Amino acid sequence: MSSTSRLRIAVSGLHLGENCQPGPGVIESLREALGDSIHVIGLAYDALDSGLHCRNLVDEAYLLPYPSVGVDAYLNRLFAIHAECRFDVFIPCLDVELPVLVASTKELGARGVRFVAPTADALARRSKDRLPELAHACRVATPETLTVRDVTSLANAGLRLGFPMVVKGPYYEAEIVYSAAEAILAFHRLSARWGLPLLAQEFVVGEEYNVVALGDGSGDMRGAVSMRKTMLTKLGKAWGGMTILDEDLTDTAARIVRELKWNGGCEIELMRARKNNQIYLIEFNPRFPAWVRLATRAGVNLPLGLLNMALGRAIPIYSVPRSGVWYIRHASEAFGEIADLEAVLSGGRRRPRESNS
Amino acid sequence: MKETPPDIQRLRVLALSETGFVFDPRTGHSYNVNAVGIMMLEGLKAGLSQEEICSNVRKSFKTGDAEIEEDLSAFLRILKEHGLTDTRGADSPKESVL
Repeated sequence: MSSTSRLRIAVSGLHLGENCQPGPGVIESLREALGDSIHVIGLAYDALDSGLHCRNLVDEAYLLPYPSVGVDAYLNRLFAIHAECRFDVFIPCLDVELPVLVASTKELGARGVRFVAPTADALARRSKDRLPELAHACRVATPETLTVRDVTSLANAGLRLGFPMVVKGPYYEAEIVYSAAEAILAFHRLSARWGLPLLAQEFVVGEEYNVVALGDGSGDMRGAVSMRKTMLTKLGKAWGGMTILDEDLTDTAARIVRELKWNGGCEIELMRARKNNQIYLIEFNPRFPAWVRLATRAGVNLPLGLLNMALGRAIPIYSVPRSGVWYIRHASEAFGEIADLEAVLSGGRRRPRESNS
Repeated sequence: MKETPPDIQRLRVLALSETGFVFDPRTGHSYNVNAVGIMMLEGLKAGLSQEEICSNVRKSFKTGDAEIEEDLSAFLRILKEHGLTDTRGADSPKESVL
C-alpha cells in the first residue's frame, strides 16, 4: 500500500527514557489494529527523542519546538509540517501541548488539523492545583495538597502535612521526602526543572492503581482498563504493571470522566489507602499513559477509539478487559549515523522510512 | 471449629490453578499454595463448612484431626492478613510474584 493512500497519523511524545512518553504505546496500539494501513508521522521535540530514530515505529518524523518557546513558533512549525506531509489526524501525547492546542482549536480546524481534545474548562479543572476541587465534585477523597511557591511555604506545608510528604512538579515528577532538609532539596531540584509553583501533598500509604480511559465528551466513559504498578522507576513511573478488575476503581474513574465531560484519552491515578481502604484521587493526566498498550493487550484498544473519534467514526464497543495481563518494559538502543542527526538538526526532519532502508 | 465463618465474597473471584497458583483479579496479586492449600481454598470458594473442608483433607492426606484444624485456622489467618476474606488492602502479600 503506498504511503499516500494510507491513513496518515501524526503522533507526538516519542521518547522512551526514564520518564517514558505515550507516543510509542499509542502508535503500536494503532498498528496492532490497523497494520500497514496507517502511515505514522512522528513529531519530536528533541533530536535525541528515542522514538524519532526507531525505524519500525514511525514512517517519518519531524522536529518541532516545545510550545513553551512560543505559541506562534509552535503553531507555525506544526502548520509547516502539515503542509509538507499532510496528516489526517494528530494525536498529541504530552501534557504541555494541550493548552496551546485547545486554545487554538479553531485555527487548527481551519487548517485541516483534526485532533481530539478536552474543553479548556475541563483541562483547567484537572490541573494538579485544582485536584481537591475536582475530587470534591466527584465525591472522591484526595490527599491534602498545598501550593508551594517558596521555601517558607514549603516549610509550612511540612508542618501541616507532616513527613513523609510528596513534593510535585507542576507538570511532571514527584519526590517523596522524609524530612525538611529533603523537602528543600526536592524543591530546588523540581523548581529548577519545571518552574514554580510546586505542590506539597499528603503521603497516603497504600497501593497505587492507574486507570486508562477514553471519554467521549458527553460524560460517558467509553472504555477503561485498570492496572496495578508492579515495578517502579526512581521517578515513581510504572516500569511494569498488571491489569486488574476492580469495580470501585472503574466507578471512580467514570465519575471523574462524567464530571469533566472529558473528551479524549486520560489516565487517572488512584491510591487505595491501607489504613481504611478508601480510594484517593492522586492525579488526572490529560492524555493516554505510556503503558496504554497494556490496555490494548487486555482487549481494549483505546487509541483506536480515539482515532475513530477524530475521524468522526463510531467508537468500538469495548468488552470487559482481561485481568492478569502484564507487561515489563524492556529498554533497548536505537542507533544512528551522524547523517541522521544532521538531517534532524539541520532539516528538522527524519527521512521517510522507505528511503532509509 | 472455633472461628467464625469467613466472608468468602473475595475468595470467589480468585483464580486457582491445579498447580496452586492463585491470582486475585481485583488487585493483581498472586500467590502460591500447596496441595493442602488448594483443597482448603477450593472448599472455601465452594462455601463448604470448615468441618467439611477438614473432612475432605483428612480423606486425602491421612493426617490427624487436630493438625488439620490447626492448618485450616492458620490458612484462614493468612487469607485475612492478605485482605482476602473480610478485610481489604491488608499488608502486601509476602508471596506475591511479579
